[in-house]
Amino acid sequence: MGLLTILKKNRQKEKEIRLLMLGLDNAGKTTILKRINGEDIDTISPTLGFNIKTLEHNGFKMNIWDVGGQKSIRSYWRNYFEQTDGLVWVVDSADRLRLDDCKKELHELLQEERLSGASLLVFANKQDLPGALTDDQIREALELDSIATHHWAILGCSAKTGAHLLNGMDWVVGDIGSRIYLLD
Amino acid sequence: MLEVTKENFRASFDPMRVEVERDLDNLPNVPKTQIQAAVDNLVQRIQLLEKAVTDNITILPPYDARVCLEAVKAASERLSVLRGKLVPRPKFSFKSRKMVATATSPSALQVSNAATPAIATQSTVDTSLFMTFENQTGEYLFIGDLQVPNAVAQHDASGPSPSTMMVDTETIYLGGVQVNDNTTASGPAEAEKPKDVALTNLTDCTINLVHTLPLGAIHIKNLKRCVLVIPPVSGSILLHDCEGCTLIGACHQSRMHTSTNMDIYLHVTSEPIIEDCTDMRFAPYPYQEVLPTDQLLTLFVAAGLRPEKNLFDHVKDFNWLRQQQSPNWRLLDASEIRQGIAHHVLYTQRA
Repeated sequence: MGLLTILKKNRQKEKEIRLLMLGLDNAGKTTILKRINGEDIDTISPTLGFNIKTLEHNGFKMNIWDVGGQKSIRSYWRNYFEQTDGLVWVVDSADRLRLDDCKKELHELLQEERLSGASLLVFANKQDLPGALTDDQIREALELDSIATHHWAILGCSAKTGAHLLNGMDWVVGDIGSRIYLLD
Repeated sequence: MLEVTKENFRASFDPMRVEVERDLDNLPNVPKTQIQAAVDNLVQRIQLLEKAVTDNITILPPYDARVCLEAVKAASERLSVLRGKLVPRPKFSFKSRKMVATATSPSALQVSNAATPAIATQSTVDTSLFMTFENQTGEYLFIGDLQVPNAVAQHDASGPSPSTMMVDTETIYLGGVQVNDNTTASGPAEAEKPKDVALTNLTDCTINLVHTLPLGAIHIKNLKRCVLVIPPVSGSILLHDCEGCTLIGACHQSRMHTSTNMDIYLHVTSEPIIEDCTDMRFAPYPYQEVLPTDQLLTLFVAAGLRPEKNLFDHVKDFNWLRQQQSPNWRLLDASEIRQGIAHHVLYTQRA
């Protein structure tokens, strides 16, 4: 029994997953977090720092970190990279003007060494809006097909209505689970 | 996977590998219509192979692990080369729009594998679904004069978009005397879904967005010396690179960036934020000047805003994360509030 095996077994007992939720400002990160957690979403202010919630999902304990997306605090994102199992990238699907910004920030993140093992879930949020791009269009716009370094998935969702948020969580938990908890 | 041993691993791995390689050989013969499906299928199978190796890396002899990983790598490289040759990259466009229900079903999950080729696609952003004012100087701009982006056009993949609906500004003009009574009673039909607005590169303009159209997010970029009146909207007001403007707006979230010397008359139900801004001055929304109280309340309710909650004076400055007052914003003194400016824009100037 090597050290790796011991570490794996140790980790398996806790079955903890650390998710980092990032994206441009106004993408709806906090709304997604609060919606998943069943909290009121009508009084959300732009996030000045970060929010953290712990949830049980499919037998895993998920720690979800929601960090503000304003430009001036994006440089602090890296303080949260360590130990991240999954990256949830939230996109405002109706914000066509900043899709290029969004693509740039995402691809910069993916260069980050400390995120190299993380699964990437892209939430194409705000599908309830009539002007929203579909998940396929977001996938093209963000050039997700060029990502060769991470397991990824994209899913259209609406934090406002709650549509498909749990499907996304299912995928990311499943993907992380199959990577980390090999012995299952 | 538990029954896998180092002895039997190759026995299960090799046939799968051989099949993948055979299908790779066959890929050029696959009909064009099925090529995408064939590629997707191969991507997934190569990924399965890779997973099989990595899952069992601890029990495999180093030689087997290396050979298998090399086989996986070779297969995925061949696939990416073939894919580049055989699958034409669709040009990025927004012509067809799948119904949300199908586009967001769980099966729409697309799991990539480590072999997808890095092809840079040139993305062009189509802003036609915004109601847009751009590149104007010294004009009076009224949203009722704009064509409403037709939601049907998004779903219609074939041919040019059908005729776009013109708003009859005479009968439903809300800022004037005549108000269509149906606007309060009508249900949330497709046409009633909120439209996003983009205001870009405007100088010395007066902009009137008060109309019966329900509005979502207002994206504002590069406005100089403009006066702008926004009704209660259900989305955010997002502002970048503005200077010397007067903005009157009601929204759920207000996010302002890289702007200076602005007078902002705001109704906002969450804490408004500024970032890289200087000389920002805030005051409450001039409710009575915009519309009679009952009509305004209707708009507040339609936009999902609480009329009694206004946090216009709780500004958060991202460049000033301290207890003391930020030097980048202040409240307008009562004497500085320009009485009648909204009324002037909506009624006097329009006439």
